[in-house]
Amino acid sequence: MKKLLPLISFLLLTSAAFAQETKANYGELHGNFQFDGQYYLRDTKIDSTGEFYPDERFLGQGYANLIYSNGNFRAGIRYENYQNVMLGFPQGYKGEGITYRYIQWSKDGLDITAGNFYEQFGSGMALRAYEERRLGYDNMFDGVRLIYSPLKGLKLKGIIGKQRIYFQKSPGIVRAIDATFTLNDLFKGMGNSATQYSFGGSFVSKFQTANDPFLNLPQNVGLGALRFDIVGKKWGLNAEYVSKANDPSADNHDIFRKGQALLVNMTYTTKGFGALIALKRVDNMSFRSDRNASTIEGLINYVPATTKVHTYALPSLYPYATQLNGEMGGQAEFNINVPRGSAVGGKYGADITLNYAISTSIYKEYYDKTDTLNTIKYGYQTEWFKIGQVPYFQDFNVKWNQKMNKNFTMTFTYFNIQYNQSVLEDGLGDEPQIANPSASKMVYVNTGVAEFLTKIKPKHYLRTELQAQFTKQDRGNMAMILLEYSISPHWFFTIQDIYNYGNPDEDLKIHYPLGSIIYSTGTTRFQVSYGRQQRGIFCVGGVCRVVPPSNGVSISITSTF
Amino acid sequence: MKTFIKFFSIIILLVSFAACDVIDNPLKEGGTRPPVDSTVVVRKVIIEDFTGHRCKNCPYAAEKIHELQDVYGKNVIGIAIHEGPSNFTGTNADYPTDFTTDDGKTIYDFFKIPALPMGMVSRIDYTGTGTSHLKTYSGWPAISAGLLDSVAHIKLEALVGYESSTRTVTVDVAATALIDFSDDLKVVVMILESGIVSPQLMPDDTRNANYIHQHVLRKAFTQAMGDELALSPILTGAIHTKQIIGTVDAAWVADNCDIVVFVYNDRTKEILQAEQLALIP
Repeated sequence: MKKLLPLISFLLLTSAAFAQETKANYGELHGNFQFDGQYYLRDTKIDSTGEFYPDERFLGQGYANLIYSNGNFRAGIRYENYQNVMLGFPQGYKGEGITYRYIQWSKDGLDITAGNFYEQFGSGMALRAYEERRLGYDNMFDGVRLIYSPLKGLKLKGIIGKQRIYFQKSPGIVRAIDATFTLNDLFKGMGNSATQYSFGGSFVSKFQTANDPFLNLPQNVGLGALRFDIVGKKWGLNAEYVSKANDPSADNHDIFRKGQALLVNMTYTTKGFGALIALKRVDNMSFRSDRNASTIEGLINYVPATTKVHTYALPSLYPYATQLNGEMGGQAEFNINVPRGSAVGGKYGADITLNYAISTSIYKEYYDKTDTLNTIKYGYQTEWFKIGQVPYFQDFNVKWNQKMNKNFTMTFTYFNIQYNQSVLEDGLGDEPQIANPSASKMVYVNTGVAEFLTKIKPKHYLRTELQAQFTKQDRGNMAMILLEYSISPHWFFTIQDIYNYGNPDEDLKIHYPLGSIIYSTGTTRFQVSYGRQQRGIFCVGGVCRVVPPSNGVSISITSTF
Repeated sequence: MKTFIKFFSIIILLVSFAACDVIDNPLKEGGTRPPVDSTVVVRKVIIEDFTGHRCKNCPYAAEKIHELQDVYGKNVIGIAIHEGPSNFTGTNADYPTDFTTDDGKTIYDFFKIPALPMGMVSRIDYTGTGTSHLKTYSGWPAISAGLLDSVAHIKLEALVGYESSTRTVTVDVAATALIDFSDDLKVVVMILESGIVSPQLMPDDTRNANYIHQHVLRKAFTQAMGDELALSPILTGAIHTKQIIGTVDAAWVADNCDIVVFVYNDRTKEILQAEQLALIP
């Protein structure tokens, strides 16, 4: 609170000062608030020793944002509290305080931010500071950002700052610049072109002191990136290539190998048809502002996932997490709209989505460990276009969405997933799996989902999900039923049950029930849930966290103004 | 406008060319440190290595301690604390030895260890929240080197007496303040056992049935988070003594046991000085 008062005073004084300048324009103040809490119940079925059962019994966490804007001026603060951190979230968040405060203004074409800010260059492979609260991910900068457009079609950005690690800061300093050229704005002759062309480049450098007794660690590590983006009427093509200098770290076991990554996305859309193809190759591209950091801490860049994130409960138990040390693969997705009135589309037409994604290691030939110098300088040898030896993930899914009549829509989805549990959960490296392919614990999963949406009467909807998942590995077969009843716009009732009837452990052939009630009014939302949650992995955009098993009553409140 | 563009361009060029170190020779030549002047009190370093026999990356951390001890000898003291999620530390038919201890759990819970392998180097950077005190093993060498180069604020002397018939150990501790302290000091006395042959999951996902576990925490003879040694204010030159008595469990091989003593600042939790002595010299 002692920290909060000066900041609020500062905001009020600032607003008053600007109000004077703008002749009684007091600007606008907006905010939002969220609180999540859970009362945990001891459940010996899912946690026989009680190792996940918290001493506090009740854990709660939340935040409130306050943003003031007046013309070209903005300022904001965020208060966060984790008392204590809920199960599954990074324990480093334990505590409370002001984590985010900034002022920003534009003057003479220059946009200045001082304090905390989020930023992204290109696809994010060079630099991306962002927040994903559901993961507990927040790598914002605390520093200064300048954005300047010296001429139409050219945008320059420059930043310097330190990154957030929970309630502290990463030891490294990040300096970065980025330029984006939009050719259609730069050249008059291209102004009316239906195709938009742009290209850009970034340079990012981090500094961290080094005092290792064994290694000559680089204190400054640079990364450069080039990208282009072409968007036509029906098609689009964008690509980014990133190259990083020697960056020994905990992630790559202190090898001095250079890093590089290429990401290419192609899209095509026409009436009734859409296609997306993404290709990616990543080699040694972990880039953190603390060379000794791990998990989600201090990441400067972000390597996008080229796999589909599933929202249905059972297939989402086997998600893909981007492998920063190296991966290659891609994704193809086709959306087909079957016209109404056709034999297949029926009276209302149908939507079919086909998706295929694959990811493997890059091809690697490791140096003999007795060759110390090459091992530490390069780690391994590789070939760009040779498929990697270790399969990481493969996903084929097809979805059929059909409206039967005004009140009834059904969706059927089939998933076929191959999941390398050794890589994606156990963190096993490529080297032992290349030497011994049987070391890879593969999980082969087939899942079917049927979803029905029924309009009972005006404002009353019932959504039903039936899911069945079959695998001979890991936790075995599961079945699930979900019923969601909503009364628009205020009420929402859900009840579901997952039954892990095929678990190889007889004691774990159990049910995971979940029920929740949501009430919304205006911009405020209340939720109360009760349920048993099985161990899982929660991912957003290729970044994942492990969720331990739990049982209890949860509450959630969100509000904005 | 032109001035601004020029200014911006210069900044870009400066950042581009100045901020990247390309290393041609990653390995430092020489490696070992010069002999330490025996008249200077060396600040010894403790690495608490949170580990598990079913944690496949944990042998990397153990190896890092051994590398440091090869260079710095007894000035770097390793403590293997087997504690963490049961899938890393639990027992089963393949990994039958229970290395976990109540004292290890107390330390693990207090410092909120989120993952294995993870360590603390003399418990520096503890703030009561966050994870800055938690160090991955790749960072241990640099931190240890920095601490060994720092000035010691405590001179620590310990004397170990062992009565084999009763398996009783008596540890006499004398800590001399080399600066004034405005914080309280605590002392911890632990017993470690080395040379324990028991299975360990290895980084290549294989089980090494003959893995030799070193410097395993067996018990703290003080409270796990220490006993009171001196209350502030503490003046330079003040000597504080403590006698700690413990019993060596019959299951532990006395010849392979060491006594570790360390003194830490109760406010910052930073370990200021440490000693390691063989139970049976």
